[in-house]
Amino acid sequence: MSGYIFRQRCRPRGDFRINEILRFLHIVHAAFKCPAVYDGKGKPVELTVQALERIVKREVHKIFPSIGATFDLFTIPPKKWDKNTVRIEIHTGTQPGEVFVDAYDIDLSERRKVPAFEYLKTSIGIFKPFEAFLAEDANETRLDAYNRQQLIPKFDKPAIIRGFHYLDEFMIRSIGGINYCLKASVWRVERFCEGVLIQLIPGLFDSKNPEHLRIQQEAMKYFRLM
Amino acid sequence: MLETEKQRRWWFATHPEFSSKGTGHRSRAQKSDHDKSEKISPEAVDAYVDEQLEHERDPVIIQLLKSTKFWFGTEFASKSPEERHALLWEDEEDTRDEKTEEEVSVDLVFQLPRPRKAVDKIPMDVADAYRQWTDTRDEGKGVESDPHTYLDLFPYRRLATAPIQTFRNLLRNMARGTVVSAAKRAASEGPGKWKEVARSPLRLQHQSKMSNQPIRDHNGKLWIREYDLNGVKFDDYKNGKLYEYKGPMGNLINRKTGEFYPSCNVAKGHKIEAEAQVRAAKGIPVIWRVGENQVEAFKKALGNMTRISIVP
Repeated sequence: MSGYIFRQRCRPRGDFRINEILRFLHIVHAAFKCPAVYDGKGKPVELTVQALERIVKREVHKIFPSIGATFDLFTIPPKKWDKNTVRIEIHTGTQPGEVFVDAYDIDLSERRKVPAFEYLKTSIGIFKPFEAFLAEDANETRLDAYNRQQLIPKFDKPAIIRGFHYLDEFMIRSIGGINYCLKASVWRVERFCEGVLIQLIPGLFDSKNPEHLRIQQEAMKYFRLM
Repeated sequence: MLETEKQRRWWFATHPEFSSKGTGHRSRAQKSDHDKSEKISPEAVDAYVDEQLEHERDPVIIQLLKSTKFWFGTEFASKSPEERHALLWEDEEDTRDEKTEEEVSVDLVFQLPRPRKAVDKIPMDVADAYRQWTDTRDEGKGVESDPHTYLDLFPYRRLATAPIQTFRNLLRNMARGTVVSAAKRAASEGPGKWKEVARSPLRLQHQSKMSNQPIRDHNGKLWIREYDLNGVKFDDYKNGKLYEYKGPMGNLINRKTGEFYPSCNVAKGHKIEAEAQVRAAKGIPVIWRVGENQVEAFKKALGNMTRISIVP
């Protein structure tokens, strides 16, 4: 079974972005229609600045605090895990100069759980990441996206182009610039937020569909990522 | 009452369990080859106990000898590992149902060679015998206290405690410093230092096998050398690369989704560990060796990280 994960990567800013996380969690709340979000111990998280600050401070890395905090939140208490559970993985508060990036991911283990793209776009508008995409597990494995990313340790350019892929201006420069990008022959390329949003196909990308694979291959060739 | 320094030394030497160092008078002898001649075979225990039983009439001492024979004689040694495990750990909380077969087998490997557990069983058997003996003796006396108890016991005191202590010291010294897994030590040095750290037995054998570091049993803990760099431990350092060996984790991965079960927080733990290692490595390549069927799960867990390779 192929799952999806929505990843948003932000350059380290040195603060915990509590207000942004709070707005992001409200989006999660609306997108998945969950009554609350829960922490790793199954306790409901109060959606207030103070409550989030408490969690973030508790989760700051014990050995290297400058790395920031990593924690998971769930739409259903993790002990009562069922097929509708969605995991939100947050890594925030990385200090500038560290080798890591801030990340705000939504792990959607099944296709049916992927919400409308409007929610993802709103989320991108909140965090203004340098890269955000909806990755399909099978496609990531097929193209060996993890190892490709290892060759770009400073996240200077995208490893591959996914079905729904946002890149900020800096990243766009690495694959030919905004004007070059806007001319790509994919379903939709548009200026969005602080960069460009590339959508290879109208709906969800499916690695079992040969047409989707062909479009992806052509796009990656166009952006010189093959 | 311990009044003199000599008495105090004698008491702590014969009662190492009360010593802060946990060593008895055998600790010095341990360094020499003296102990080698004192190792006892199960057959020797049987022969010794049988000989003593012919002359002994006291029920408590008889029970002590029988108990010693049972735990250290040929009868116990001839049992299968599972039976020995059951006998030794029957009074412990049984969590085997919650563990996988693999974990149970690892537990068996690490728990069985410990003779200390068996040593601790003997006083319990003797205490039961003494209780039975006093009950039989006091039958018909009601609850009236016996003023002669101390005097009754006193002649047997040395007799009862000395063999226990002797066995205990001998067996503890045999167990102390035992190299459970005899592997050659790697000589790779580098920017960090090799340090010996206590680890839980789970997956330790895999680490030892991969890193060629021996596992040492000391003070009831298992110790292994790990590579310390900037306060973070790595399993190995060789050819200018830092290695972390992840043992079998198939039971923590959801076969349908191919990722770690979120309820057990494994992915988060790995991510935090990986962050610390990458940060401490300061540019030195970090390689995680994982099971072949677990590569994708690890890659998904560490998806937003660079400078760390995951290889089967």
